[in-house]
Amino acid sequence: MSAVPPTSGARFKALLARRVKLDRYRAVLRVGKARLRAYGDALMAEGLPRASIAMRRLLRTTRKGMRRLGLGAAGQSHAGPTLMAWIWQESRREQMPILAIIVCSLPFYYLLFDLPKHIINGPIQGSGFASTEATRPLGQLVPLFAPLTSLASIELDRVMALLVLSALFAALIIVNGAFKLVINTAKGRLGERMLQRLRSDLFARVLAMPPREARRLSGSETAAIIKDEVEPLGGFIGDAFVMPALLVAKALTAALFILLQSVWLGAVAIVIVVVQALIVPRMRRRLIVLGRERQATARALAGRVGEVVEGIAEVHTNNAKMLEQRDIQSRLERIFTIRYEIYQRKFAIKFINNLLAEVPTLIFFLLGGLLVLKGQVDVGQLVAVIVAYGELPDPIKQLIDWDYQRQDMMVRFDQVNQYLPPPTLAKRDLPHTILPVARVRQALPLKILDLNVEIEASGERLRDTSLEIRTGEQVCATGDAGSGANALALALIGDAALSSGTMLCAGKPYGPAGLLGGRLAYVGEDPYVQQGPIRDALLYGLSEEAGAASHVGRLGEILKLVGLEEDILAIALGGRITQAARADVARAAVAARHALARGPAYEDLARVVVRHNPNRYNDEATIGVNLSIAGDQYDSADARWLGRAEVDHELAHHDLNHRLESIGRVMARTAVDLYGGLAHDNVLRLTQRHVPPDEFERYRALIERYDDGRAEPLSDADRRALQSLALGYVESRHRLGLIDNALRERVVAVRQALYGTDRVPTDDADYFDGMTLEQNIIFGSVVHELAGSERQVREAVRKTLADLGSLELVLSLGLAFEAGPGGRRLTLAQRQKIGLARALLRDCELLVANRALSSLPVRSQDTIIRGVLAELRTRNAGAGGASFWVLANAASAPHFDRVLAFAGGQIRDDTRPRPAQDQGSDDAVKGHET
Amino acid sequence: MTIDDEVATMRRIPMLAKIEPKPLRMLAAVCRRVVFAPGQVVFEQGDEGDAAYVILSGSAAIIARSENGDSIIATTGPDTLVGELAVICDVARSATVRAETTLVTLRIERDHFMELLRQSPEASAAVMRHIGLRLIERTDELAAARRGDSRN
Repeated sequence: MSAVPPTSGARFKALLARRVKLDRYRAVLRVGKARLRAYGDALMAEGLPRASIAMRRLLRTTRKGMRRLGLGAAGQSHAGPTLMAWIWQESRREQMPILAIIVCSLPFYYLLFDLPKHIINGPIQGSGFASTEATRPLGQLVPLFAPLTSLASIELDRVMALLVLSALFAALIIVNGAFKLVINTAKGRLGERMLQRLRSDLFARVLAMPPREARRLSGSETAAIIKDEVEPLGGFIGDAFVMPALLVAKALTAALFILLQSVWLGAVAIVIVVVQALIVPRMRRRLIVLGRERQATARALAGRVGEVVEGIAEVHTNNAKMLEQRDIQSRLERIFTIRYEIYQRKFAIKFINNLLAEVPTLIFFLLGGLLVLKGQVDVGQLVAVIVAYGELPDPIKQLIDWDYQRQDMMVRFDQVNQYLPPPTLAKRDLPHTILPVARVRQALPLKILDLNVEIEASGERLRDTSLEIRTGEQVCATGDAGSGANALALALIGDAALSSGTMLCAGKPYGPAGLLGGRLAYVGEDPYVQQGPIRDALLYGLSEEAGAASHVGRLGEILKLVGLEEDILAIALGGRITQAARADVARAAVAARHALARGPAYEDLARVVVRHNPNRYNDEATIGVNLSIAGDQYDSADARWLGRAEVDHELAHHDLNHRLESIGRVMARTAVDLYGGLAHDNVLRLTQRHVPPDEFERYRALIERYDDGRAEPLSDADRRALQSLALGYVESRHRLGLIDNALRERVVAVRQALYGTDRVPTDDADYFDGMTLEQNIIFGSVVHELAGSERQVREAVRKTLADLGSLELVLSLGLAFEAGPGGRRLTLAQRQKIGLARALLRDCELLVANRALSSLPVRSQDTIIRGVLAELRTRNAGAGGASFWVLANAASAPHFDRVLAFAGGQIRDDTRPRPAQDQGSDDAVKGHET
Repeated sequence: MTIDDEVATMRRIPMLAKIEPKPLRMLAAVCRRVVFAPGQVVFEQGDEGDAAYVILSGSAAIIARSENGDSIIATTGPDTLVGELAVICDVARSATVRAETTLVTLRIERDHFMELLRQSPEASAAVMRHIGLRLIERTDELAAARRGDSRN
């Protein structure tokens, strides 16, 4: 509420009243307008164009009026076709048969009214029956049967006639019910089918958006729209035409029946129905307006009260208590008026509704009775009319409800269309579409002339740049983030709007974007890796092309080239399999174990691997591993293992349980003392190795309880939790000085007591499901402390596997690793390598790599780039595939044929450290291009 | 050697000497001990500065690589910190460090070191002081070299 000088209280009040009045008019007008538009649409759909035109004229007048009131038609723009038009357009073919079925059902519906009349008049009233024993032919009883002479001539007495006619009535009920069933099923199916089509269409719209447009969409919101928002639309689509058609047809049939019985009664029925159809929605309309007003005023009141409370000091110092009181009073009065009006209207509607429902019955009794007495109408007709009238108000009410639903759905449909515009409109909205994206066959030579690009999100620009990339040419771009190199890369793949310039692919005026996925491959800085096995991510999009099998064949080679092989191998070797599920891998691992033990690398490996020995404690392994090397379940660092009766017994017997508990306590206390004061997501707290980060608070509470010094502070569960911490202890890793020879001896004693010396595995033993694949092969613990030990072990394992010919098998295990949603289980470096490998797997003519390896160490970047360039140079039967790299690190630039130094949106320097024609020369040939 | 011994060693290093034992323990407990064999390279000139190393025992050569080949510019031993500048300033390694004997080190990850500076104001002040001193040292060396030049 705007500030009004407190001097003119009366004026303020008057102003307020006028404002409220004006608001009210506006609200009424706004609603009225929407309703009018809705009626217009409905009429159009019903095929009443003339009425629709009249309505639209009315609408225009209203709009004019609104404009005069200063109310624009903001937010009313339709991004697509209107809902009803869209539904008709999309589902005409499915709607037609249902409408036909409705038409077919009408005669039976009519008969449902008609037959009771004959039952009452014939057998019950006995009209036409001379006596109780007299008979009449069926054809006379029911005129419908008159044409069927064989049936019509059957003579029936009153009881038989009652039975036969009742049976006929029962049959009619069944037929009508069956029609209802068929129509409802068909309409439900139609709704679901259309919902499916709509969802598929919306998804297609998402796919059709250029990436830079699609980026403004929120993933979850889009998913919610496709999944939830359109759900009610599906239900409505089924009803959109079927419902009004059915209801109108039923109402007309009932009205027609009444008219045919008696024009007078028919006229009464029609008048009442029309009155009802006119009054009820009108009254309800006012109710809706009032409801909204009630909400708005209540919200305003709440805001005002809050404001006063917050500024209470000001209210006092300015002596504005009375003013505020008056203001709130007037608001409360307004709310009272609105609420009271709502009650009045609500119950008035109820009253009128009841009246409209009851009074006609009275009129029918009165008027119909008079007509019966006069002999113009018989009793059967009167009863049938009353029954038929009973059927009338229901369709009308439902039609009104349908109309409300339709308006709701129209808003929903518009919202969906605004969020995901149909592609035709999206295209029109694009400001600068200079290059049509078309399927061209060849990308190279690629000529770029006077290109100007601006990346909206970052403000990066590319200015008046010309460039030619020839077949087999390896080009790289260096420069800072805003230098323009990135803009050029994005322009090449059509992910940046060009403000001017031309691109020619092999002399044709098309951008290379049309070649994406085939002749043109792109790798960005953060490649998206889909949920699923790594192998699928690598072959993404290739399955649809012919010859995907040959790509798979090259997979191993490419993996090595981009340095992904070691990652895949590490994933495979670090994982666990079960012998039952992968007997082949388990056999290979045991074979590798034997080969490794006999091989030449064994001596070297002895320095970095401490092998398990049945009689000795392995200092490089955890206490848990030492306790249960032979355990069938290797995950002994688990409270459940400690809970086993025999384990508990042996630990107690060797007095190891207290010792483990005290080790666990030292570990927990160290963690709590050092990292307890840090935020729970602090990097130090997350990487400390004493306590699992997600159980930190539990151990903190435990230590606090212990320090309280109560007699029995720790429960059995607490003790077990501390012991399970101790199971993860390794002296060289935790360095708390907690392991001595006595402990070592006791651990070995417990192990031997639990599993016996015989069962402690030797090299000849089987595969252990509880150990990782690598642990199974080296059968010991890596001395992590020694620099390069992990690499040395990995290399030895790799070589052994390769010698045995089982490297492929193990790699395939790694390729089956689930990347997680969005590749979250992989590091960025791994995802970047996957992106590059994926691009290389395509036989592309031009590879665009935009800071594609930025997260890798400089030396790895260099090695990979050198390898990839060598591979590209051998492509196309020696002609070579071209590439354009935006380098994250300029150190690799000398490997390229051509280096473009970008700065300030332009190419500042264009050098050829390694001319394409003369690859032997390493002298830099400088040439400037402006 | 336990964490307490490591903390004692760290407190003998000038840059870390002024820091309270608790933050140092906090750091030491998340560090990995890394042992290099003689001749093994700790890090190479031009690499990213991903970690600093506290030398616990053994000795290492600091090697500068130039067009004229490699030259040992210094030898360093226990109670010293190597590679810290690349970590603090986020630049590439300015020299190569190679183990001369068996070299036992404590590897301080960049993220962890930076977190220590955030957690402990004394640590930040100490690092600043250390870098300042290094700068003065270099300026003096440069001045001395200039004087030497003019004398010749």
